[in-house]
Amino acid sequence: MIEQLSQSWLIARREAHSFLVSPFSYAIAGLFLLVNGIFFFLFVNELRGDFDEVVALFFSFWNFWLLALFIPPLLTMRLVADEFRLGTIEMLMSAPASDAAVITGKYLASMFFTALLWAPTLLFFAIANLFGASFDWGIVLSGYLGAMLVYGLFNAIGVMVSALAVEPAMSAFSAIVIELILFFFMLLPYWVQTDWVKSVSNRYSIYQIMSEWLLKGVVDSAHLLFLASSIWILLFLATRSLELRRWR
Amino acid sequence: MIEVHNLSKIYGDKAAVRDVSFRIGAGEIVGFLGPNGAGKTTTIRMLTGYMPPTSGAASVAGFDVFSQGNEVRTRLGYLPENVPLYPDMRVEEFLKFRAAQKRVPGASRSSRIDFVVDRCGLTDVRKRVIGTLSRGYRQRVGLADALVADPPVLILDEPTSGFDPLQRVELRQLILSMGAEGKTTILFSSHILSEVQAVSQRLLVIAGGRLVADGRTDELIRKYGEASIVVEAEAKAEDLQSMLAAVPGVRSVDPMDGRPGYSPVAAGVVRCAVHAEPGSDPRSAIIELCAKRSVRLREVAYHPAPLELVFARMVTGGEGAAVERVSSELKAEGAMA
Repeated sequence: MIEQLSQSWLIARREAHSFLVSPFSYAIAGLFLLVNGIFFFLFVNELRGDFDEVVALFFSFWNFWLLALFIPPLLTMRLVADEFRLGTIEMLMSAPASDAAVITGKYLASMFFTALLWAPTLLFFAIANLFGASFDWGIVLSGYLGAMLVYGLFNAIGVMVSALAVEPAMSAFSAIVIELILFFFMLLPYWVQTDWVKSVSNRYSIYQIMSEWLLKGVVDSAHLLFLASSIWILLFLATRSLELRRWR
Repeated sequence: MIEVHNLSKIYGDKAAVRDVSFRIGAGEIVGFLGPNGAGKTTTIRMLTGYMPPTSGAASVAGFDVFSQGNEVRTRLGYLPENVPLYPDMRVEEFLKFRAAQKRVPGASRSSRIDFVVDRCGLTDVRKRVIGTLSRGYRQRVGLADALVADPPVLILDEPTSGFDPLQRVELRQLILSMGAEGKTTILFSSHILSEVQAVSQRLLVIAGGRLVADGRTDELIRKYGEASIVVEAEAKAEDLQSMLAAVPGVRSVDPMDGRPGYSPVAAGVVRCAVHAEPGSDPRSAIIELCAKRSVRLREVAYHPAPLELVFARMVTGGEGAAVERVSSELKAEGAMA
């Protein structure tokens, strides 16, 4: 167990290094910060003085969900698919690393890069604060927690799809399609207003969890448990598909 | 050190490897020979635990490759075919990563990396990004990776495929020197017999997914290699031909006149190519017979079978269209009589 954790850690470090030397990552980071920066500026400018609403919108408006739709699939697309395309999986696994260690390491690397993407946005709040904005920092914090959970789930989808895909581009495309289907179900309660749809979405829709709970400062352990187990299941499936793919 | 029992890998209704068994003792250097697509890589992938067999069992260093895969992999240095490497890493970073992955203790890691960098001739490119290296250098990086944990068992899949002749010699010397130390068991695959012959005393030959030969390299070459003997004598062609054909150990006699590329000898003199039975050398019998019949001999020259032909015979099990094609090609090239 300890052995496999250290394998994951090594693989995560290698992937993180690979993110950091790739120009593509910087293009993604640039796009991410540009879109978020513009929207943050607009929110602060338009919503004069209503800083709670700035925080709520920053983590739930188009900027947030559109980026969440595209960035995780692009970050994760090559993680496993490229190992097969380059044949490096055979080399990688000739060291004592299990399938689970490989998937965990890759996923950790995607989360590391996600954290790196989000970190500079803290500056937005800090700078606005300098110019006299006052935020409820608890809500800002739970907004970031929500962002990590959303990206955590979507990165896990990306890793799973990458473990199945032949080409990175195919992986990104499939992940985006899967997320679009998820979005459709998340928006369902706004069209179909029956009680059971509402109660299911209240508990399991990540959109609801984000805007109705986390951005109101409520962190519910049931939600955390639900998301953590979804991520676990996705990574488990990724591990199985890596194993099966190796065997062919 | 490596034991394989009735290993098979079946894809759908096609068997890539069928019922292969062999044992390799500690310190042996064994060549794994076969044409492309014979099942070499599939067998090796099962040995390294990368893919499970459909049936059969294998163990490396006493550990079962499937149930104790991680134990096996810590004792195994493996160079996969085509040497897959991460193109965005520097040579030294890559070797550090691999040494850590293979549990080389932190204290000896950098000295171990220095050692393999030196041994594989990577000193000049140590800081270079792997993606910018030539094929030969990438092959060396792969080899350094295989050696970095000082494994007792080394499996190299087509290790010379990206090398120029000079690098081939270097690799050969590296393998031979490791063999001389006797600490490392080496299995390496190739489809070039001369390469295998240069470093290994023992040969496993695989064709069509089956192990068709397993034995000492020189014995196998003797068994499958039919030597040819060029006889030049002052006689009539038909007389010489029928006389030589009756010598024990001679399989067939071919007149050489009229062959493409053949330069005619003096009038009244004929040249024949005598093909010996595998493993026999009828030269003295030919000389004695000529002396008895008062045929004046001008030349009796022995030509060992070209290894290409030996290879073709090994993998086809003797005769066949492929063997005929190879031998007529070699004759046309002047590589055999």
